[in-house]
Amino acid sequence: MTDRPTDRPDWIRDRLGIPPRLFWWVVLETIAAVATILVSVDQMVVYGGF
Amino acid sequence: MSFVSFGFLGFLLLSLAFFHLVRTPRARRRVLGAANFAFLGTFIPDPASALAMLGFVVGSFALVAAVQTRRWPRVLWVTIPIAIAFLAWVKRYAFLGLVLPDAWLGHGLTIVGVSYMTFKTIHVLVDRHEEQLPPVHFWPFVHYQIGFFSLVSGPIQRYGDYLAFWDRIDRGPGSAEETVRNWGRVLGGIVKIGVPGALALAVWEAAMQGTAALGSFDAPLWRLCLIFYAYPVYIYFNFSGYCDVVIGAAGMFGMRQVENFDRPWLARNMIDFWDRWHMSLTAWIRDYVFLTSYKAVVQRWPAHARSGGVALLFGALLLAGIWHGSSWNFVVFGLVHGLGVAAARVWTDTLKQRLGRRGLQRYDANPWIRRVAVVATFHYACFSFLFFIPGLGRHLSHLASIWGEVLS
Repeated sequence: MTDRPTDRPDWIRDRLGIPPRLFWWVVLETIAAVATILVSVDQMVVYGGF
Repeated sequence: MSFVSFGFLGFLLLSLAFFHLVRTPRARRRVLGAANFAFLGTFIPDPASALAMLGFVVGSFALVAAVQTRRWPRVLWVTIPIAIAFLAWVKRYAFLGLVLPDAWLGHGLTIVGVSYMTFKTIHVLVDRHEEQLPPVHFWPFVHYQIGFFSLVSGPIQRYGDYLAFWDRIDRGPGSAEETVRNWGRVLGGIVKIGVPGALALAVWEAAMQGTAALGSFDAPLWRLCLIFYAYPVYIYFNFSGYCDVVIGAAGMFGMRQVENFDRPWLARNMIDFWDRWHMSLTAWIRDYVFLTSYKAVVQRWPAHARSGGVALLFGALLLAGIWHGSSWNFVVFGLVHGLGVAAARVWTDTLKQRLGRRGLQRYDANPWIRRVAVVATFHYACFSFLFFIPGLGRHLSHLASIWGEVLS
C-alpha cells in the first residue's frame, strides 16, 4: 500500500480561508510579538522622523 | 506612542474595529481622522508644539492653495523655499547657526515627522503645479500629511496613491488571507524592532562604552568591529521593522502603502544600495532633485550632460544626507553617500566604454565579481553609518584605530 495524500478536510483552510502554514506562522509571530513587547524596553523609531 | 507596545496594538485593533464596523465613506473618514489625531496627539509634548504642528499643516495647505490659484507662473519659486525654510528652522540645522542669531533657533518646538511632511508638501506643490494631480482639498490633504501609516518616519507616499484610498474608503475588507498576512507583517515588524534591532543597539552601546573607557587606540579590534557593524544592523532592523508595521497596518485598512526596503545589504554598488534602501526617499530625490536639475543641465549645457549628471548625483545624495539630521555629521554622511553614488556611476560608465554593452553584461553576470561588489558595498555603507551618530571626532578615531589594527 502506497502513501497518498488524504482527502481529510483541512479545517484551517475551510473555516478561516487561509493556508495552514500562514496560520501557524502568524500564531508564532503573535507569541513572539507579545513576548517582545513584554520584555523590551521602549524602542523609538529613529530614522529621520523628527 | 511606541510601536513596540500593547498600547499601539490596542490602538490599531480598536481603530480597525470601528473602521470596519461603519460602512459609509463619511463615517469611515471620521473614524480614520479620529485615529490619526489620537495617534498624533501622543507625539505632541506641549501646546506650543501643537500650535506649530497646526501652523505647519494649515500653512502647507495654504502653499498648495496658492499653487492651485494659478495666478503666478513662478509660484513654486516662492512656495518651495518657504516649505524648506520652515523645515530648516524647526529642525534647527547646525549650519543655520552660521547665518541666524541664536535666539531664532532657541525654540523648543517638536513637530513629529516634519521632514516627511515637507517632502510630501513639495511633491504636491510640484505635481499640482504641473497638473499631474487633481485639485487638492483640505481634509484629504490633512490626513495625507498626518496619517498614522506614514507620520513618524514615512514611507513618503504620493498624494495620488493616498487619494485612491480616500476616494474608495468604503471598500470592504480584503480577503482573509490578505488580512492575516498584513497582521503578520505588523507583528513581524514589532519583533524586528524589539529583538534584532534592540539587541544590535545594546551591543553597539556596550561596545561604545567599553571603547570610551579604554580609548579608541587601546580598544581591541573585535570591539571596534562591533561598533562598525552593529549600528547599521540596528538602523536597518529598527527602520525596516517600523515600515513593516505601518505597511501592514495600512493594508488592514485597505490602503496599499509604498514599500521602502528591498534587501539593501545585497546591493552591488551605492546606486543599487539607494534603489533598495529607503526607496520612497530615493524616488523622491530622483524625481524632485535629480531629474529636475538634470533636465535643466542637459538643456543648457548638452555637451556636459554626462559630467553634469555625475555632479548632480553627488549633490542629490549630499542633500539626502543633510536631510537625515540637523548636526554636522550628517553633512559628512551625505558626502560619503554622494561620493559613493558618483563613483559607482563613473565606474559603470567607464566599464561600458571599455567593455561595450555586452562586455558589461558579462561583467555584471559574473558571480565572483558580484560577491566582491556586494561585500565592498556593505562595508562602504557600514562606514557611512559611522557618521549617522553625532560625534564626528570619536568616529574618526575609531576608524583610524580599526585601520591601524588591520594594517599592523
